[in-house]
Amino acid sequence: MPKLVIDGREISVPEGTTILRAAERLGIEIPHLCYHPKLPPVGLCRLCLVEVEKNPKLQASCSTPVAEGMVIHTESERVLKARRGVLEFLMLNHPPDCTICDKAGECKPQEYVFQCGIAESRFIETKRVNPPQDFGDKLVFRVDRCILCQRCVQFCREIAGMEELGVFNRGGRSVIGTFRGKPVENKYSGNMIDICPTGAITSRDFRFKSRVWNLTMVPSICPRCSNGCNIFIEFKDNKILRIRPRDNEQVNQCWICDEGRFGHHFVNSLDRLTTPLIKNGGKLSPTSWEEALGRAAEGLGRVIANYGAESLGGIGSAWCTNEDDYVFQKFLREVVRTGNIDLGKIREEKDESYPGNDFLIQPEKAPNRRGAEEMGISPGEDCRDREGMFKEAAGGKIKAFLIIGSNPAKETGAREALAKVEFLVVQDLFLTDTAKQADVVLPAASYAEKEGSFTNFRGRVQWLNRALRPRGEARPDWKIICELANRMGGDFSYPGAQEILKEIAEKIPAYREVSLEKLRADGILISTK
Amino acid sequence: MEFSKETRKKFEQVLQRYPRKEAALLPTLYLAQEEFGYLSAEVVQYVAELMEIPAPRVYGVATFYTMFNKEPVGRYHIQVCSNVSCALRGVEQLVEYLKEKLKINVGETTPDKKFTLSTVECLGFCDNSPAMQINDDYYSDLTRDKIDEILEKLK
Repeated sequence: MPKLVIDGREISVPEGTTILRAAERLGIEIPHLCYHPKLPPVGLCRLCLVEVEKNPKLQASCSTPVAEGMVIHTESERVLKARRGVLEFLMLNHPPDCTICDKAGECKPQEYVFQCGIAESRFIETKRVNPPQDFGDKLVFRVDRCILCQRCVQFCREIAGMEELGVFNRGGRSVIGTFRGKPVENKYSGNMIDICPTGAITSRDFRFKSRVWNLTMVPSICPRCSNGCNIFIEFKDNKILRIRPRDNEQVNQCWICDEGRFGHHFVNSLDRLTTPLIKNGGKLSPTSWEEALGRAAEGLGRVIANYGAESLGGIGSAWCTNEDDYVFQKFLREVVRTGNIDLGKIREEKDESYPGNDFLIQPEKAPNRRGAEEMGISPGEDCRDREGMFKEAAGGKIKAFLIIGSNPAKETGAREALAKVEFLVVQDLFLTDTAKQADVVLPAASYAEKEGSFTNFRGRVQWLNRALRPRGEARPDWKIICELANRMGGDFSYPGAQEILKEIAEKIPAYREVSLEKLRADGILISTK
Repeated sequence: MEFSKETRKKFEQVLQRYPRKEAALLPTLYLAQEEFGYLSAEVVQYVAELMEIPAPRVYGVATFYTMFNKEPVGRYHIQVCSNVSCALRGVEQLVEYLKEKLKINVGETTPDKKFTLSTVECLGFCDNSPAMQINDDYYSDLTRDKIDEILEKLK
């Protein structure tokens, strides 16, 4: 391992480490723009120049490997002068439009210019002006702000596996662009918004919505598929404004897909249920929680009393947290005493003809199928699965359903079966076709509005933090079930999802290692035995 | 759009000269320019598919080199050196003369598609400046009379 000295401090690093990475280990951040830890170093921006003793020229630290005995200065007079010069050049054509730029506050050149204290430009010539372009329907490209670091070009080539961008023309006329204006279509294009060090690539969805420093960030898990990508929910005034990836080397590195990034609008949708509904004279109308829960408990209780516990069926959800599903099945098994429990149908989608590198997206379009099953959302011995339950409902044997977070009315045969039952309780975010048929509809909190855990398809359990207040009067599914259970003779008194997690760790062997602390870090892979 | 049989043959020969297919991109773009006159977007697309290189990368190369024409040019492409030695020997006046004579600006083509006028970087004729290149031929020690004479001979 070569030994070297950086800014007077000695360090040994493995052969092949670059100067920039070695400095990083000492906590020294060398300013850089084109270098990105997940992309091959290209040494384009020249901002990371450092002085290597006995070397006549300054070296690009992002692409120069260390050598035995190197003595490096990252803050010497020469380096600072070069850095200021490079920055001044990079900013020649850059417009001073931070006032309206979405990147302001998280913009690299802005930060470095601030650090270097460059107050004036000596450039008195006319700046190059080009009109903004669309890079497909998600990205807006402001050519003028581009400093040609080529991170986006590299991202398309190396990470997304679809080389959709290129550098055209040369010298002072160079521009990044798409060939013949072809829209950028890779499924991970939103990451270019994050890795663009300037405001050249911005999000059509987020732009002009908020200054970034007014957003609150809460760590969570993406609910769009079973990969369980780590995300930040970024919000203001109780509304999600953007989703960004959160680093987790075990799951998604520093990337997320466009579906996860832009598919959050359902949370803020005006179509969300905001109050409980009960059916009066064939019509659903808003009511209080007290009345709705009373009606649900009474209706389910009547069916159990008249036809027995096996006349009741429960459909759990792969969209709900482990804590929701655990409480749901516990209520059915221990209070209702039925094993007619199964999972709502999950949409599966695999794009076989996709030409790029589809490295995160899983075909299973729900976050917690595996967790739900492991929580016990599966039929007990001699009990009905989903299809069996609908068949028996059609045949008149099953008389009531409790359905959370799924919409079986879309499935053939299920709608007719649901129409036949005497009593139907549905918990959901929206008035789905299933909810429309219900006697009691209870508004549920979305993933962004509650705490809990998801287990991804590989068995990694990860924690969701609450970002928003629930929409209207919506409540977390587990809380609704507890209220219902307590009205039907149960004693479910969990102060919060964290206490349910503790019980899961005690009761479910595969989850014995699970603790809030571990879940909040990188998550924990459950034992598969 | 496709290479003629003859060009195709040349292309196969070019490929033999390089260890990797991508390395043959520049000579292939030259062949394409010879065959089709200039590198239109369609030509770039064709070369990209032929060489199995993403089109944006091929377009990047094509636009980086000024010797590749991205617009149609006339039958005779006049490229006048604009660098120091030629400039010191009065090439600017000769460019003005050519503009008057052909009734076009630099970067334009005559209506009869016979001549395109461009200025280019050093042609390597500093010792016999001013110099220009027309298609593959070079002309040096230029004067107004010499230009008249050269253009007269071009059909």
